[in-house]
Amino acid sequence: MDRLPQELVIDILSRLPISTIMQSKSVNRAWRILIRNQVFVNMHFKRMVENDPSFILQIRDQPIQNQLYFGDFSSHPNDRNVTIITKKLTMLPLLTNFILVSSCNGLLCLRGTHRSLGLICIYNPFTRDSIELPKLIAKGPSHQVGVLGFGLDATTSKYKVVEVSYKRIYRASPSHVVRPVNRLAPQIIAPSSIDSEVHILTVGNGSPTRRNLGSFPFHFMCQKSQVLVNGKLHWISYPRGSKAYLAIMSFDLGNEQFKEVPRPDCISSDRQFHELVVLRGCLSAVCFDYDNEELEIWVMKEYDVKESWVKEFSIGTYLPKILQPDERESLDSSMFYMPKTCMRILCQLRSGGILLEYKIKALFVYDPHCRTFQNFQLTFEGIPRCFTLAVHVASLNWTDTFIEAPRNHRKKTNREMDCLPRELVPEILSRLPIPSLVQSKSVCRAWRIFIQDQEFIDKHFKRMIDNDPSFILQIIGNPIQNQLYFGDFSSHPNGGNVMITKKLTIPPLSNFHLVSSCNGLLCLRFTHPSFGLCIYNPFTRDYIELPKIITKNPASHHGSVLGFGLDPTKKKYKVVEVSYKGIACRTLPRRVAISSMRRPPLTAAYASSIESEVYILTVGSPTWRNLGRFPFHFMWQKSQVLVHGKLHWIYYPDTINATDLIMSFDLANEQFNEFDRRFHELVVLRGCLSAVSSDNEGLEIWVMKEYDVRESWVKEFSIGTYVPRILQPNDQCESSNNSRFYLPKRSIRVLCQLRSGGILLEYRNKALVIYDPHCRIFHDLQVTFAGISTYFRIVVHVASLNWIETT
Amino acid sequence: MGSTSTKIKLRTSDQKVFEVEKAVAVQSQTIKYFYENGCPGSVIHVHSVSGDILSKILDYCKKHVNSAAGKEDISPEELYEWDTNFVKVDQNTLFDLILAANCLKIESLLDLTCQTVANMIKGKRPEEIRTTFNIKNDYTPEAEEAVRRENKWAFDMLGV
Repeated sequence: MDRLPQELVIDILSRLPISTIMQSKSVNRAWRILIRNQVFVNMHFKRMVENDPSFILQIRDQPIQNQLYFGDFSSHPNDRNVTIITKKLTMLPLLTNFILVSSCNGLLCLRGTHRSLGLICIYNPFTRDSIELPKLIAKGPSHQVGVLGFGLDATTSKYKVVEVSYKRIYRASPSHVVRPVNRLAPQIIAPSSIDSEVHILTVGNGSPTRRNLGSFPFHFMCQKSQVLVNGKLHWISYPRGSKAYLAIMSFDLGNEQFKEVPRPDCISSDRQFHELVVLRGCLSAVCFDYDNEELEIWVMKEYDVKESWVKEFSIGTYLPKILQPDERESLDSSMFYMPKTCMRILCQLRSGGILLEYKIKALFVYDPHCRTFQNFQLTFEGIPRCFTLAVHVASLNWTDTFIEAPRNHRKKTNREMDCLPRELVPEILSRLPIPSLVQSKSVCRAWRIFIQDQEFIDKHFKRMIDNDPSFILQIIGNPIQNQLYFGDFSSHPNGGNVMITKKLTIPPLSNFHLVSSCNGLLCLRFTHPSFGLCIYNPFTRDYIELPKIITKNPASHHGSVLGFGLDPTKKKYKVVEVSYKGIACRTLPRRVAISSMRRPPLTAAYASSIESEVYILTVGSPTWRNLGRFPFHFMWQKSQVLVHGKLHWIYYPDTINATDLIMSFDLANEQFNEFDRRFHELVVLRGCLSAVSSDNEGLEIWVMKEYDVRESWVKEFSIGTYVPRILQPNDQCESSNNSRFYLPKRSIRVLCQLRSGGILLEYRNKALVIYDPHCRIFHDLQVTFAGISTYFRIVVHVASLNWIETT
Repeated sequence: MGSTSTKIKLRTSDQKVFEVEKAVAVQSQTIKYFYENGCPGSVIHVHSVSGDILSKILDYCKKHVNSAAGKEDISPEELYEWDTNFVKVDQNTLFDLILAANCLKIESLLDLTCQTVANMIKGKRPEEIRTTFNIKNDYTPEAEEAVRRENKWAFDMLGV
């Protein structure tokens, strides 16, 4: 799977039904992020729309109705005798009793009853996002509220709920005739004893609102399921006071206008106009033909075109097995009892079959070709029950992450960022330094999702490597060391020689030491009391504590981390540590640790009583592995030297002959290897292993242009002596000559080469200097911690939102 | 030498026709593909690019081709300067350039223009970014507050 580009992974995952998606989230972190990605949510939704739908069900024969179930066909793709296994959904504690109103774009509209009366909630059971809509203030006990529909207004990308409230008027006075008639084209308005008002509730960004659209002189026939076509809600309705004229009324969620839609010819005296339904995206009408005892389904092939109404299906009577009476009862009577309103058309499946529900108890598919019926067994925890059912395209969508509105709408209004194709936005964002990037997360949801995407994180990281690095600093000298700072040059692009540092949020560690940085991850070592290790990304705040080395004698064990890096072959992070026994370490020079090797070296004139061993830990595995003894003396490296997947140190083959050589450790095959140069410090410059040597005249930097090619070592820079201003003594106290001699060599550290070509140097843990090799001049860099200059430890850090894959 | 003087005809969305040296035109991978796979001498339609934008883009390609071929004596610093001035355009033009560079597949121009936009984002607060780029704030106030809290240090950095 890793070898596939991300868009293909999205493509694959988007074909999964929602229940599998929910499980896939826990496969790994990348998938979880990917599944939350809006691109993914949209693609998944589009696929699910094309697939057979899933269902949301509510049990009807229970006293308390506060539970929904989910069912789909995905578990039984090719079964003839199909069972739908329903699954309980997590519900909102807010609604103690509710009715399922409708489903749109993966969101459910729920209306409270009994004690929750008046509450309307929008809920996505798969993301568990929910929102409560403002209540209508009831104007007396005779006030009744009905929710008519719920849908997305594609023009403003807001979800809207249309609600009608009825109020009985006991004394109908003539004044009611001139009640404020809304935008509806007035037809015949007979005075009535029922007053009704239409309210619209809007859910989108910002808090939900409620508006009154005025009164409405029509009666709505109770719609069992949502009929949303072309951004318009539809109902069968008749003018108040006369049931003679049945009309199809639409409500445009965009302009909020009611309008009559042309009726099919089936609405005549010999048929009962029954209900509306959406079949494969077309508005359809269901009516019952008394003469032939058949259900007829008429489909409006082209929206709002009267001539396009076509009778597509006629369905004969059928009695599902579950509803067939005992032999004692006569079959005939139940046959007559069955059809009409107890039959509901739900949807058309991909196979062409029509899904029907009978008497809120049975579900079956009618095959229009063979004119046969097929039963579905539907059980709730094994028990068949009465249920209401809503066709539901399960999605991870939420109200403020719109299923993409038609493109032309947006293009007209927004000429800026939105006009760019999606793939270009990450292209731009990946060029931002980490402070701007982290901050850009709060610009809008889409950006946040882009920024959390693993592919984006990798892309951003690659760019940051090419840029000037940033730095992690730790102040030295404070009694408690549990604070890190971040510094970079991005805030001053054109040479302002100031590095502003900023406190980082740190995991609650009492006291720690900054070990090293690799791929945006920091390796920290606790100093008291545990000496444990942890990996931390300060920008994602991901944090992992590493297991401890188990040694025979833990009391005298002292470890020194040699390095932390990524094994590029296995994509695993590894930590290498040398451990030595306590007695000897007191006798050692401060910066030198002695260790021994698994294979005896060339001519090891090794004479030391110190026992030392090298351990390695693959991050994610529970135990350290012992790589054996190691007879070399490592020089303490102030920052880690990781080139070509190999860690590097300077070492002495033995204590007597102090000829320092370079030793490398391959993180992939875990082998040590040696080079033959002598230097006092190693560093990585623009990706090349480099070494620093010093004399009284200053520093020399050698660069190995081609890795592991001895001939490619080139002396690239010679840096003369320099005393940074901040370290220059006061005239009264010391002579400047003195300190000049005191300064070079080990107190100067080469940090990195900047894009400008300048070499960044650190002097005595206090001053940063950029050396310009062209003009051979030094620029002092000002580093302050909340305004104060102090001693610090500094590590080059490519800031990234990267984290360790746990699989 | 004969091949370098070959001309390619390009027609833009507003029906303007450009006659361009092949070496310049094939800086665009898209045009290169159409040139190599189409009939020689035929006009290549650049539907998504207007004449104004295409002429700017051709200036850019010409400059870079000439400097690479040594026809123009220009140092890398001067070329960098020229690039910097090239993208000093109004925002609409800049976005048109990005779109055109993307669809014509001119890698270096896409890099230049994207970096320019990134530089415009740098150091701005989210509100400023939204106004600059006409981005709708689709967070609820609560959600935005949560995200801000999550990234608090980044806001401290800008003194917000």
